[in-house]
Amino acid sequence: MKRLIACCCAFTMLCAGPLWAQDTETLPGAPDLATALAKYHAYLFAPAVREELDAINRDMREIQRETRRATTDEAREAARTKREAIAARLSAILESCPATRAIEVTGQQTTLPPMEPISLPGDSGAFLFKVRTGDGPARCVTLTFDLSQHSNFRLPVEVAPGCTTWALVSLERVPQMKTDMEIEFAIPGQPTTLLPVRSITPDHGTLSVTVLSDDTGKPAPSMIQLVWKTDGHDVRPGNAVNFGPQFDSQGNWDGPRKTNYPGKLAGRYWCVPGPFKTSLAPGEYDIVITRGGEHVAVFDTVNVVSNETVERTYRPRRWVDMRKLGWYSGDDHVHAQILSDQDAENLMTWIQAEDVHLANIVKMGDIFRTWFEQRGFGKEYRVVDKDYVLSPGQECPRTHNELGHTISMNIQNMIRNTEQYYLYDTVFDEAHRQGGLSGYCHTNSGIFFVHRDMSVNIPKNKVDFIEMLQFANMGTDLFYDFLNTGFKVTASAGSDVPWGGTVGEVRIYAYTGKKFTADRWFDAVKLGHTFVTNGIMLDFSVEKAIPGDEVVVTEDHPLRVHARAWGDAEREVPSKLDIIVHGAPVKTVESADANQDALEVDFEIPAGNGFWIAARAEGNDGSRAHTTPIYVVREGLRFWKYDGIQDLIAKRETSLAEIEKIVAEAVAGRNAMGQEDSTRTVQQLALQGPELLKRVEDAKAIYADLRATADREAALRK
Amino acid sequence: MGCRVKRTVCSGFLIAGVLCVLPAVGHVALEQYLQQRVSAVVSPKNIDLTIEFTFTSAASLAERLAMDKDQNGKLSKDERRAYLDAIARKVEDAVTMAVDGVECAVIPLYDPELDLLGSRDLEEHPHTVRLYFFTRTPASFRKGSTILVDNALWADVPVLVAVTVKGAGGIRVVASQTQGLKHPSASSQTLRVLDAMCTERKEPNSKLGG
Repeated sequence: MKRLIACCCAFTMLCAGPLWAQDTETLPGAPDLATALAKYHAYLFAPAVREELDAINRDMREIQRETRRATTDEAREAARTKREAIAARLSAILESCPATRAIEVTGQQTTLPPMEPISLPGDSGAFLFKVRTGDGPARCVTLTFDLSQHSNFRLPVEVAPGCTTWALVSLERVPQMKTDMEIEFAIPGQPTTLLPVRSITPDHGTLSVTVLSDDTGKPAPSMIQLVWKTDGHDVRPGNAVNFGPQFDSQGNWDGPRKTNYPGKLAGRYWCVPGPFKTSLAPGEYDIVITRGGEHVAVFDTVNVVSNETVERTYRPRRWVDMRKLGWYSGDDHVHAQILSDQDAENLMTWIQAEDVHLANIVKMGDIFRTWFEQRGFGKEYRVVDKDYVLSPGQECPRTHNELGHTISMNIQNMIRNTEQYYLYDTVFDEAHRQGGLSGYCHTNSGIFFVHRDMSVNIPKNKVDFIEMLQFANMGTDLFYDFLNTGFKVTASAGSDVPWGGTVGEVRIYAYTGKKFTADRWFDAVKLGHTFVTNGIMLDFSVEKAIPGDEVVVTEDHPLRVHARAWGDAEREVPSKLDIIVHGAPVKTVESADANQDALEVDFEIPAGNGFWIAARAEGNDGSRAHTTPIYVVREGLRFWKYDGIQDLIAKRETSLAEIEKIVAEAVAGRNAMGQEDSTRTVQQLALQGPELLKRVEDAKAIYADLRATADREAALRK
Repeated sequence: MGCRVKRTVCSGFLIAGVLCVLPAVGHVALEQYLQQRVSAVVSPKNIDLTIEFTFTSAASLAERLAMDKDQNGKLSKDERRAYLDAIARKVEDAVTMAVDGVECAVIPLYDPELDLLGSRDLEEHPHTVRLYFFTRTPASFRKGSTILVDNALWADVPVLVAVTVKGAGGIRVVASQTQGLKHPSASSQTLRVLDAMCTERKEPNSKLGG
C-alpha cells in the first residue's frame, strides 16, 4: 500500500543547489555506503550476497586510491570506467536487498513505503532507503545516529533532488522493544518529507555459560571473549571482574584485557569468576574461552534465540599438566592494589582463570612516590587458595634514565629509602636478609639502561633473576652477555599488567617437585630451576642436572644432553628447538609439520673446558621458550665464553663508565641526557653519587680480576 | 607526504610534551610507550591488516586535548569525527607493506575507528584508535614469502608492539619476533611493526584439464 502524507514545509528552494550539480563521479557516496554495509550491516543481505558486498567494498576502496593517484588523463579514465562497473555491481545488490524501503518524492506528491515496523537485529542496525526524486544519476548517503544522544527522535537525512538517493541510516544504542522515530528527508527544492518509522528490536534471549575445571569438573574462573557476529562488537559478560580501581589509573586499566599471547589466542578477554547468564540480542555469537597456557582454548559459536535460554557448559581440556612434572607456573610482575579482601579475591580469580600458580603482586615506586598499594607484605599477607598464591612484592627502585627497574619477591616489608635510591645493592641485600629474591625487569628489551646496574651487581652475586620474556618478546642479548662473562643468571618472565595484557601471558615455570608451596617455588627460583615461555613447554637436562644446576667435571668427557619441546597441537607446535652453548646453537632440530607436536634431541657433548648450556624453542605461532642454563664447570675454570671474554668485559666496563658519566652530570646539575635539571632525581643522584661510584670501583676491580683470571686460564685450557 | 608526516610528528610531540611536564607520573617511561596491536590475516585473495593504537594515561590525555578543539572539556561527535578524518587523511601514506621486498598498495578497508572506552572527558583515560587496511595477495605469494609492515603514525614515540598473524585458505604464516618495545629511530620516520613469513601454502585443488 502506498500512502500520501502531508509534507512539512521547512523551506522550499526553487532549484537544485549547485552542490549536487558538481558531482562528476558515478554513484557519489558509494564507498562510504559500501563500507558501512560490509562492516556493520551485512545482515541486511542474504548470506550469499555478503561475500560480493565485501568484494565491492574492497574494489571500491581500491579504485578510490587509484583515482587519487592517477596522474594522466588515461589513468583517470581507466579508473572512472572501473568505478562505473563497481558502482553498477553495488546498485544491483542494493536493488535486490529485501530490506530496502522505497520512497518517491516528485512534484508535490510523496509516495511512502508501507508503514510496517522495521526490525533491527538488536540495539544497533540500519534502515536502507531508496529515495527517488527524479531520473538523474543515483547517489548514496550514509548517516549514523546514536539514539542515546537523542531525546527527539527526528533524524535528518539530506536527499538530492532529481535523482535516486540510496540512504543508509545506521542506528546505535537503540532502545529495546518498539521505538518510534521520524526520518526527515530534506530535499532542496522540495518540502521536507517526514517518514514515521517504528523500529522493533527483537526480544532478548539468554546465554548461560558455565566453564568447568578440567581438574575437578567443577565451575572455575576463566577468560572469555564474546563477540556478536552481527556487528562484530565485544559483549561484556555480566559478572566480568572490573580491575580498573585496582590499577591506580595506570597503563591499560579499562575495558577487557587485551592479551599478548601469540597466535590465535591474542585478543580481548574478560575475566569471569564463574557461571554467568547474560541477556543478549538474538543472533550468533563467537565465544572463546581460555584457561591459561596449559589448557586447550575453546572456540565456539552459539545461537541466541529470543525468549529462550541457551545453556553451554565448557570444559577446556588440559593439553599438559606441568604440575605432574613438578613444574609450577608464575608471573613475577603483576601490578595491582590489594587493600581489601575483595581486591584479593579479584586477583585470585584472575590467576585461577589463567591458571598461574604464583603471582608476585608488586607495589611500584620511583624516587618520588609509590603506586599499587598493598595492605602488607610477608607470609601473613600472602593470599592462598588451594595451589594458587598471591604474594606481595615490589618493583622499586626504578629509574628510567639511570640504572633500570628492579623487582623483589617474597619480601617481609617494602624496602624503600630514597636517600639510597641509586644504591640498588642495599635493596637486594635487604631483600635477601628478609628471605626474598631480587632481579631486574625489562631486560628482554634492555630499556631504562638496566645494563648499567646489572654490570655493578650481577658480578657481586646480588641478583637472583632477570626478566627475559615480556609482552611476547624474548630478549636474550643481556642474558647471554652476562652468562658468557661467567655469571649465573636465572631466567624469569612477567606480564607487567596493567601495561601487559593478562597475568601469565608470559610465565616462569619453577621446579618445585610434585609438592607445591610458595616457599618451595621461591626456593626453586633461587636455585635457577626455571624456564620461561608464552606457549611451548620445555624439558631439558644434562646428565641428571636440570636448569640452574651445576655439572662439575674434572676432565673432558662426554655429557648426555636431552631436550624436548612440545606444544598444544591445536594452538602451537614447536617449529624449532635449539641447544645453546655460549649463546650460539650447537644442535638444532626444526619441523614445519603442524601435526608434529614435539621436537626432541638427545646427544652427547664433550665437557671440554666447561660452558653454559640451555634449551630454546620457537612455536609455529611465534611463541618462545627458554630455559635457565645448566652450568658445566670444569674444575679450575670458569664456564664463560673464553674466546670472547675481553670484549665482554669491555662492554661491562663501558656500562660502568656510563654510570660515572651520569653521576658527573648530576653533580654538575644536569640529568642523564646532559640537560640542566634541578629535580629530585638529579639532586639525589648527585648526593648518592659518591657511594654509587664506590660500588662502580668495586665492580671494576672484579672485572680486572676476571681479566687476570682469563690470563691464568690460558695455560690451563686445551 | 610532507604535510601528513608533519601532522603525525606534531601529534607525537604533543604526547611527548605532556609527558615532559609530568615528571612524577607513575611508570612515566612505560607511559611513553604507545601500544600498537597489529594483526594480519593472509588469505589467497587479500592480506588484511588491522592496527590498533591504545593510548594510556598521559598519552591519552594528550590526544584528548588535541581532539577538544573548542576547549570545553568534552569531546563532541564533531570533534571526534574531525580527529578521525585527520587520521584518515594521513593513513594511506603512513603505513607501508612489502611482500617479498616489493611494496604493495596499502588500501584502507574501513574508516578509522575511535573508542573512548566510556569517557568523553579530558582525562587520563585510555582510548583506542583502530585502522583497517588490505592489499591484494600477490600471485607469487608462496612458502617462504615475507611480509613487512612499517608505520609512520605516532612513530616518534616509543611503542609496545603486539603482533598476531593468521593464515586462511591453505596459507600458514608466522610472525617473527617484532613484538615488544620499539624506539623511534633518528634515521627513519617509520617503525617496523610486522615481519612475517609464509610457512605453508597449499594450492587449491585443481581439476584435471582445468
